[in-house]
Amino acid sequence: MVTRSALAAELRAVGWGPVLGAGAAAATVLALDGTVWPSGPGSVTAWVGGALLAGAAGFSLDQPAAGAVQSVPTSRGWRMAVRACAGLGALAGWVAYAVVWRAQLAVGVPAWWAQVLAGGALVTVGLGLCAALVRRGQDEPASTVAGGLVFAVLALGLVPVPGDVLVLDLSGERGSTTVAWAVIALLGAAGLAWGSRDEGSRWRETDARSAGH
Amino acid sequence: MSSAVLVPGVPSTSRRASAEVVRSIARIEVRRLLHQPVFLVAVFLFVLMAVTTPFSDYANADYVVTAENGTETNLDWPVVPAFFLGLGGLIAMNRVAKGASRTGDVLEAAPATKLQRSLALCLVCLVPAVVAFAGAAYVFVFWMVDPPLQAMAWTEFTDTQLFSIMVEGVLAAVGGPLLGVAVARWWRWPTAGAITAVALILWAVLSSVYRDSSWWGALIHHSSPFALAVFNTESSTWAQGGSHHWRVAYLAGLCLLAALAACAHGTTGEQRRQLVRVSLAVGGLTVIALLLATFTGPEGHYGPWNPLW
Repeated sequence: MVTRSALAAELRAVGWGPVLGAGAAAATVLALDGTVWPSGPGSVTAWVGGALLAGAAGFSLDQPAAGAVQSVPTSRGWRMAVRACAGLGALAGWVAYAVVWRAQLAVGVPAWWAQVLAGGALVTVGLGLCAALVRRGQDEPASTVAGGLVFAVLALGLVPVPGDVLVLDLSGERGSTTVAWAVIALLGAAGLAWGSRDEGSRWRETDARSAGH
Repeated sequence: MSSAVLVPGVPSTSRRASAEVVRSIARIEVRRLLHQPVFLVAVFLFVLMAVTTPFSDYANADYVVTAENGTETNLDWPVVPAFFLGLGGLIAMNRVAKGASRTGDVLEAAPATKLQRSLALCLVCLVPAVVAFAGAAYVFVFWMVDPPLQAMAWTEFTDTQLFSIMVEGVLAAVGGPLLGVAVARWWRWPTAGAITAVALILWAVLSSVYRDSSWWGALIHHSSPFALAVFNTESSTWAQGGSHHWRVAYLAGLCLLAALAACAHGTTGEQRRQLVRVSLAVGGLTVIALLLATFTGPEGHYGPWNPLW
């Protein structure tokens, strides 16, 4: 089975150390937020934890063994899809944090869908940036992307966004905030889609059609 | 350039030639820093915040104080260069120091010792410091010309203390990048930069968790490289207290320790022992400066929100 062996090869090529390391750091930060500093979703610690989770997902797209992986007869899209599954794990971590937080009845509860949207957008934009940078020739862009995401969520809390958009508000009551996160998620998805395309696939399709004629 | 400099691992016989090597590498590394998107965004946001500070909720004599807009602004300046240039610089310099690009690989092959390369990277950290200094000078001039008289705790600080608060921001802007270099030298893991940035953020958060006037609360607050001079929420007000002059010395000590840690990597023998001795001395003085910052100077205060503070 070529597919099974290719899947195994692809998974072996993922740098699991950084993925799990960033994931563990994110889990620690989110656990601190839920216990020692019970400030909850919308706090600095929660956003930083979310950014680290997105960074952890991004590390799965790093290609420390790019030369070996590219010799496997699979498309870039297939390889990216396999690796991006780590993003689902990161999103699951964020949702678990949200569920645990919501179980504490004594605290303010943000809108669940706003929280999932923000977490999903962070993970998607992390994956999208990494996929695009990998396609642009950087084999290991995730360290920069993870740091950039941490910096970005902090900057969003300090810099007034034009149009009075409160990007870090998770109440779900502001349409502008929802639109902002939806746009961020779409941009991430677009990056992921672009980064997953095989270079020159358009030309191969053209060649195939020409051969058919 | 002397022939000794051209041999990798062999220290220069001429101090002048060695300095020239360091300057040459620093020039290249500056160009690499200026190609880091995180750093460029950080500089842009910092300049934006600095330029608009005197025009956005600036609590001067004409400012209308209400319960909604408060007077918490203005003296929280040190966190602006700290979070933008300190954290952005940390992430960018960590990337630069890891040499994770083609230019980096070429630099690794350059005929210079590891110590010279580390010194060059430390010199590059002066770039965010210069930007932070320019922003701080601009805001400080506004403070002196059109004082934010209604800013919380404004009347409690002398001009020299206000100057120290500004310098704290500059030192945070140079300390973050220096820490990024040190971490890149000693911890090559890909996640190291992001995790170090998060640790600094958590430290800053921790510094404002204990909102009381206890000595250990003040100690935790002053120990954080990124900390507010004054702090308030919708219901309470907190002024840090302590000596900002000694806090400047403490932050300068932290910067020096980060630079020494970066330079110590790759050294051996007597050179390593000398760096360790200097580090221990600087570390001791830094701890003393922290204690003096905590236990000298005016007392802090904590209580319900009071526009008169």
